Amino acid sequence: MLDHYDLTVSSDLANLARIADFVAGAALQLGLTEQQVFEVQMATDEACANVIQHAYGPGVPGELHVRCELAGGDFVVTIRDRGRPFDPRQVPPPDLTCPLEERQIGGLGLYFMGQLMDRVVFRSDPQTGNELKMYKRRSP
Amino acid sequence: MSEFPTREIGGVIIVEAEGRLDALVATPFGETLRQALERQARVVVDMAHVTYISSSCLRVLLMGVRLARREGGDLKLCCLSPRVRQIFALAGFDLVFQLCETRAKALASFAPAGGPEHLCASA
Repeated sequence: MLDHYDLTVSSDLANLARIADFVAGAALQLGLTEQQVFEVQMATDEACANVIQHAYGPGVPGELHVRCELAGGDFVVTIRDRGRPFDPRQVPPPDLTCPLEERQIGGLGLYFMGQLMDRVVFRSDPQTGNELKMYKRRSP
Repeated sequence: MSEFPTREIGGVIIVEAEGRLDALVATPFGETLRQALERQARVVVDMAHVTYISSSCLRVLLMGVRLARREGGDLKLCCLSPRVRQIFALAGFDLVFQLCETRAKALASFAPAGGPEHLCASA
């Protein structure tokens, strides 16, 4: 069994399905339960869609690097890109209780990531680009 | 990416969604719903063959249900898998949409023209 799994794909929404399959395979190999695999897969899908649609943007070429590994007791997904930096503090969380007509349309993907993972850490560096780490505690 | 098949039964349009409803298909999915809602404000999205839905397609559904209700109709969903239902609950969308167990229940919950609307039996 490998201790980490890497995938590099171009910034294209057509690669989201491939990323989902890759993450599911790695997460199963690294001992996550079916429910955890689903949660990690979904958080990663939202994160990568954000990179492709916002960090790079439509038609802008670039790469996404996805790594899955164990660190301590956690399963960790790391997503790296060289697109525009992202500040999650600029995105207000959605209000899930407000009436339909007032529901905000944005912010849901980021909200999912926070709900599905135990810890989500964004870092932007002008030299090395953007790095997102998402942590999932493995079931004891 | 092509649009999704639709059919009309008794004044209700059924959209047959399938596969992964991720950011890649949000545009064709939105276009399918927009065209359906232009013809008829009463729409059912059959989710039987949907394995996953991301925030981008949830947004498309939210815009669709707003449009449908503004026109005096509704956009309902049927046949959600437990996983997809879980995503709806996570987003609080189980409180926004009528989620019906079967296509027949979803269709039956639309009133005949002029009659009263009623909820589909809760799934």
